[in-house]
Amino acid sequence: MIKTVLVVDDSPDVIYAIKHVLENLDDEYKVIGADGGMQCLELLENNQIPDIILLDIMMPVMDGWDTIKEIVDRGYAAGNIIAILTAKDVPDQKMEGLKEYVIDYMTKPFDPKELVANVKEYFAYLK
Amino acid sequence: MENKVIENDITECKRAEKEIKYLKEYNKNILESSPNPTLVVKGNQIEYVNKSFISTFGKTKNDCISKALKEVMPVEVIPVFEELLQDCGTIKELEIKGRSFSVSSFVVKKAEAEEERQVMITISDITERKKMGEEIRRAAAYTHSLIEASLDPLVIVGSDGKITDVNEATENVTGRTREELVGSDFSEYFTEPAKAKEDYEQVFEKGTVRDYPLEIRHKNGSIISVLYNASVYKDESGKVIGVFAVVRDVTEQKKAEDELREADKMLRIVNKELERKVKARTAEIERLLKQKDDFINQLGHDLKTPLTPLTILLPIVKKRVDDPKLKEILDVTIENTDYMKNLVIKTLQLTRLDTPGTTFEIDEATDLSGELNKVIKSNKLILEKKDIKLENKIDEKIIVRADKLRLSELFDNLITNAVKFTPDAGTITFDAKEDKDFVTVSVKDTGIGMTQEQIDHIFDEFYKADESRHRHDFDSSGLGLSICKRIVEKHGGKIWAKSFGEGKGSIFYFTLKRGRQENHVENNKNYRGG
Repeated sequence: MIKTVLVVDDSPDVIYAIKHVLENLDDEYKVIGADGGMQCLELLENNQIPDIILLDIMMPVMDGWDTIKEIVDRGYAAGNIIAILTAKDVPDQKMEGLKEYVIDYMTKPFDPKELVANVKEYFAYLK
Repeated sequence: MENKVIENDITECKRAEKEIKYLKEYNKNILESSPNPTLVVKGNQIEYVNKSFISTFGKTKNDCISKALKEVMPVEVIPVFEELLQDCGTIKELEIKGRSFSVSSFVVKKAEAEEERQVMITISDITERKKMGEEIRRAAAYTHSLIEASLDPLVIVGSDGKITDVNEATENVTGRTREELVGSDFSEYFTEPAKAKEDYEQVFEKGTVRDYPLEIRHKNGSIISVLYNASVYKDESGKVIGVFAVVRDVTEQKKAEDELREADKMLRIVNKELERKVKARTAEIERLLKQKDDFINQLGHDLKTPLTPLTILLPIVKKRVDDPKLKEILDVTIENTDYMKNLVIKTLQLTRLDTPGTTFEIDEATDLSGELNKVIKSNKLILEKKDIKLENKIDEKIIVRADKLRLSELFDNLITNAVKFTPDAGTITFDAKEDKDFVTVSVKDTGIGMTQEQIDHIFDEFYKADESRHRHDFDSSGLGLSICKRIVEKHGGKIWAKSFGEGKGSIFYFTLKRGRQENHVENNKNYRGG
């Protein structure tokens, strides 16, 4: 069974690094990248529904919280785990009412061990 | 016929005589019964004195009749009597033996020859009347002097509204003389005569009026603000006969009040302006602070993003490289990347703690031991690397008021610090003690310990206890304990350190407020937090 992870980050290098680590770990992992909230929603609209979304918060045009709001509003939140890639302690009014859709916070920069351990944990939770 | 006439004449004559005799008797009786001493002087001799005369002056009839006046009356009053005899119809006053008399004269019988002229002199004792009049005069003078003594203008007004008396102060305040004022209409001296009249009528109605504000117009046109107090005054029978009014000049007082009001107004304006300036300045400072925070947050994010692929990919590269020289180079690269990562994370932590408006999500019943266990778990790798044993002796029942995320940052920084200064195979022990309001947590290590100088500065930003390692200390940002201090203080606690000297280990203490079990709501929403 293919485990699909959607990485939404405006830095292609971050997407590349995560893709490299996860896809080299196990053939079952498939990493899709989106350079921002708009592309993330486009992918969802085109039926490319991942199991897990790793979402950066500070992104231009449409930030992480706006993206979560859209994901929730368009009904893609159910069954998908959303993890946030930036620090939890950034004070943000937008967090209100959306935190419940976020399963975890992963503070950048993280090392491969941390990434793998967390992603494995999320999939274990999905089962 | 003739006889008849004569006879008639005789009868008439007799009747007339009888009539005259009767009249004489009548007059004499009147004179005798008069309470006023009376005498009749013919020529220069006393012809008649009545009983009252005799009793008043202590004489007998014989002492007086056919005697000259100067033989009977005291010598000092003789000139007055002589004047009265000369100038009949006048009234004179004189004193005899301390008593006052009013004396009048009129001619009883006119005659060509002075010796034949009869003059009646009537004397009235006016001693008591005079005394009473004197007393009344004195009383009036006393009353008036009292009125005059008042520094406030006093006015007495009759029931017709006309002024009956004033004092000097009233003359001064109106600029008019007493003569002008007395008899004039009381209300016409005010700027609003109708109001004054109304007020004065109110006094009659109610009996009194207090502190009624009015304005007097001085003759020269100037206006004097007064407070008007008045009450009615009555005669013996209790009938109101007028109003006694006191007007108090409050011009100075009013001026002072106006000035005070003006000053107050100015002060308010100045205060408002100051407040506005302070607000503007505060807003400016807040804007700048926010700009700084935004900048640091942006910079932090911008630094963290490129660090992410580095921290992910470099260890993978190292794993795939076989060349030992290349491995060594990669180790240095990884170490520096980690240092930068650490520095960025800690700087952002500290900045956020200092940012005004940063809110803490306080959980009233944070499980102290449980939170520590989570942090111990995430530090497993660095503990294993140095074979350091970490003991959690905190009673599982202890709960504190804390923001869980900050608390884990606090534990994390304290563990990092203890690990750094504890030699391999050492021990770090966490314990906690409860008292009335606070929980005191201790972190004891078996590390290198600290000097007093180090203890004094250990919580300063960028302070590094081990200066010799300064340049190559990739494990330390010099911010960890500063962050601990901020977190503890923002929770209303204290943090301090102790050491038994170099090589004898250190103990860090911090306090947190005790939690409350009843408000504890388990937060299950977060996957890992629950």
